[in-house]
Amino acid sequence: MMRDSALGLVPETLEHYVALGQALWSAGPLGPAELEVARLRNARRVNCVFCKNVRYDIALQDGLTEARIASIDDGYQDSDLSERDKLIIAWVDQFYTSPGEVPDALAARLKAQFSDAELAHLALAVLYFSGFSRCAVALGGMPEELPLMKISVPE
Amino acid sequence: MLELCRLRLVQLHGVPASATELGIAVAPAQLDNLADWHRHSAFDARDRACLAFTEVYAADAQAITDALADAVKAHSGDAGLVALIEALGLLDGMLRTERLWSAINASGGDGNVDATAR
Repeated sequence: MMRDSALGLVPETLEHYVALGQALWSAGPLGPAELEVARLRNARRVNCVFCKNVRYDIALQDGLTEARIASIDDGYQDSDLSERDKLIIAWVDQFYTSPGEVPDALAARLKAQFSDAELAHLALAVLYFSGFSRCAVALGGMPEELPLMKISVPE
Repeated sequence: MLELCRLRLVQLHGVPASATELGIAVAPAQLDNLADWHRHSAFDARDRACLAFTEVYAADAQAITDALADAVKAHSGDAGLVALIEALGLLDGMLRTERLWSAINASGGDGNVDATAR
């Protein structure tokens, strides 16, 4: 699918993009469901219609449900999401709003819940999701609505 | 061109960064006048098209207009526009990640995130 998009116009970079995506989803300490929480929050922040309506099959297999996905929205702090999910969402929000000004309380919660390796994995994943989703938005031509689509990590 | 865009992103994020850290040369006149690229003679039409696109991308990718994209394509083609967008995603994302990571590490919370993980 990625190769059929505008990204295919630059094959020299596309292959690296695909390889990075595969590595992020298949390796590292965070599981697919938690990565999907980060990806879907990023999709909402960027308002990428395509990204918002995609569900990665490995995340669903890892236990992600539509009920959990529905909570990845404004007001998530008061939802039934786990502390880890809430912190993943907070990381994404901080990435976009004020990355250089993290409240001490948030930093302490992140350090208490995640190992260094998990935070590094989250940081790289959000960087990747952000770049990919903003590619889609910046290129334009996004429909206003799309049905939910279950897909696999691009190979 | 990408280095010019990266350096403009650095300015927009307000972070200290070296103009030589990537070893990519930028003309001194461009380096000295990057914040004034709109009107300084050191920048040609291609530079301005890419820098205008970069500024809007950094603020809100949804705000990019067809005119901004067409201006880049006029000088760099469709593939050039895609390459620029891909690069901006990486460069802007790296700056945001660096700032976020540093802020967490510098916070007064318990423990430090291992700096070597960077």
